[in-house]
Amino acid sequence: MQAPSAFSCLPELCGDAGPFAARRDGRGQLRTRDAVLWLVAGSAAYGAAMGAWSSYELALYAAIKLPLLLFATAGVNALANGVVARAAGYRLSLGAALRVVIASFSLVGIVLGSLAPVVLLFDRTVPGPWSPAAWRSHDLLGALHVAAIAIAGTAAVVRQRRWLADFAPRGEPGALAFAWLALNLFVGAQLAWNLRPWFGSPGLTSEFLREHPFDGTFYESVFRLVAQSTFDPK
Amino acid sequence: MTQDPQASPAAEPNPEPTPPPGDDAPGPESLGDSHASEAESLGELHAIDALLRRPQQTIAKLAAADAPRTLATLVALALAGLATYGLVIGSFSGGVQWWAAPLKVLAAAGLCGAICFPSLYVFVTLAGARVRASEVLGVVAAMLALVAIFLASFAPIAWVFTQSSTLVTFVGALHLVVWIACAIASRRVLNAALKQWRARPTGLTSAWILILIVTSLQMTTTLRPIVGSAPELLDGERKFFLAHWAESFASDARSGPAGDAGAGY
Repeated sequence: MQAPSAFSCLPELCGDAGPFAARRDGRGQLRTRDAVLWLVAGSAAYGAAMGAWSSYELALYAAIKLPLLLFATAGVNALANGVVARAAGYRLSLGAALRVVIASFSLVGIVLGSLAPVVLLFDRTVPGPWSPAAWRSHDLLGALHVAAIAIAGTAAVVRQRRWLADFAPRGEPGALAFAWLALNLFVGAQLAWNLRPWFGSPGLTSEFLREHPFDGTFYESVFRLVAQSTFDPK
Repeated sequence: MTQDPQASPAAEPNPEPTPPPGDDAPGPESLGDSHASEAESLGELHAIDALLRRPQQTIAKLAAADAPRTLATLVALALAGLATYGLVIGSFSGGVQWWAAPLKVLAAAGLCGAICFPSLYVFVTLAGARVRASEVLGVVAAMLALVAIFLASFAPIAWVFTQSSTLVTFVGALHLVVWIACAIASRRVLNAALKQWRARPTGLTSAWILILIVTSLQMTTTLRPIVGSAPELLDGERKFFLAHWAESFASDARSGPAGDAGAGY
């Protein structure tokens, strides 16, 4: 009866029940498992919907890569998140900080997963990557994904901020959630860049990773884009 | 008589309510004071009246023992209202659109409800509601039923313009404006449900209405032609709704008004 148990924890993961990492009832480990399951299920569903515009192959790859991206972001930032929390006076161990971040990422996964059918509708009804209007679709889908991720991220940060209040020095939600958000966005954007392609570019084949995934950074590419459009807008 | 939210888990239906003594016809201001009165039988109130004036009663009924009957009533209302408005849309082109347009309107509404249901469930849960998926499904049905009632009430007005206009884009835009207005108005059902579930209305629940509208715009573009006519029942070409509308407006602008539409008053 694994599925009903995991499903029944959804309201608790989404609700105001408080940070499960802080529970003293011995169910913390169970809730971590539930959070991990939902993170994988939700983000894999969204990843599949994301890649489905290009091909079923890319849908499979993105379904694998999106949970991987979230776990990698949490893992890379674990130490920094924990240290920042301690420095800000929060009563959080490194492990507890990681569990709170994983819980909020599982919320991201749940919200993204719930939006997967909407994304899939657009994938299957806007011009495909082989059509003359492919780049317009590419840009539209890019905007759609930004909107979906913004909705999911906002929901997660708002909830995480409430959870963190229990650990805060004065029991009030402080700026820690926003500091973590900044760290996670900074690292997450780069890892997402390394793990391209996500929904594919017209004219390029579907592959798990680009040929040189670690050549360049997200921030260099943004700098080049801005510089090019400013100084050489041809 | 109020219920303790902690003592009434989502897995159990709401207890049978007790009508407040001496309050046979409570005014609108008294609505929502007691969940017991919300869950009371619809009584003389017709289902349409209940949805329009006291959506909380309908929501309470969806959690009660006769929820299937309430759901069936809502689905029947939605089918009737949407089919009626679909007939008005089909009257613009006539021919196969007499039956195709109502069917496509029904399909579009049903598919949009199904596609947006998972996000509504997650969003209301994030808003603090403890509900079963079936109750959220009931709210989607209630919203569609309310949209259908609004659409049916606007059908005569839409029919006048549909019969007078020669431009597909004008008639299409009119139907879209009516649809969007009805979808926004149906938010009162969602608000009533959030109140019933003791959840906070959040930005996410407002965003959901926007998601529903955007989804419906893409769905109607996918199922085109609904207003105009074409050799095929479904166009089949993949197109983003904004691109479709831009092309349609450009095409109508080039062709200009038909008949004596340019002759002035």
